[in-house]
Amino acid sequence: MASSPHASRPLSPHLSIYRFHLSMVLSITHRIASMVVSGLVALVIVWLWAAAYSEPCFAALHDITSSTIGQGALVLASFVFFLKLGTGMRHLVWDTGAGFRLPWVGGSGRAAIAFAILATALTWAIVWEVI
Amino acid sequence: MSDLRTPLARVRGLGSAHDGVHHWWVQRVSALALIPLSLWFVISLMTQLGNADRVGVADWFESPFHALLTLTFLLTGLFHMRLGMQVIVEDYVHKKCMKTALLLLNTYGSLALMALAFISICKLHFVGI
Repeated sequence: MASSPHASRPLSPHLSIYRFHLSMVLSITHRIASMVVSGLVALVIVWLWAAAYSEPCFAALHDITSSTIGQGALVLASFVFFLKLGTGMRHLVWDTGAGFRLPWVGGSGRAAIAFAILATALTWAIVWEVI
Repeated sequence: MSDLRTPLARVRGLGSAHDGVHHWWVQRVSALALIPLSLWFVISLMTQLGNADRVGVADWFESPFHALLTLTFLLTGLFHMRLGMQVIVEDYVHKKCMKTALLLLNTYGSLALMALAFISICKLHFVGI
């Protein structure tokens, strides 16, 4: 293609020349987070079923969630939930036709991440009685 | 750009998929309701239910407010989840056989989860453990 007389013309956007930006990461992260949250809802329902019907299952789930790894997984799970909530609200604003100017797109993306970090930190601070 | 649709097609507003914007709308309507519902449930789950034993969980669900709002959250959430997962399957899975299987699994799976949530919360609320 280098010898083509049209070489200086912009080509269609190949993946290799995409400049990294936050919006493209949040776009796919929103979808992945949605799928993770779906799995978490299913787990919560299994936990509810265990609470209602099965002492051994409830005890097993309690052992997992109260272990160090379990607590770490729950922190991560809550972060994914708050991130999905943040980016989801951003999408709802976009659906009204607002917030599409470039500085707003970048700013609302950073705001969604900041919201997720703060909400995760605040709720776990309450759960662990740090504050 | 000139519109190639007939006046009838335009007034029906169903588009090329013959399904209109109904799916899009109900996904947004459920999303809006889920903002307060999910925040309330997740914070309750973390701060009140997280360390509870089975008796504690049953006590919490004895309140009709807690039972009704949790059920509303889970049913709305599963409804919204089914719509979202359907779009993901339609976007990424193109083999007809696999796509149909996953769409059916999505529909039946979310219905099964709704039933499981319903009966578990009813048991915790009306009977206890």
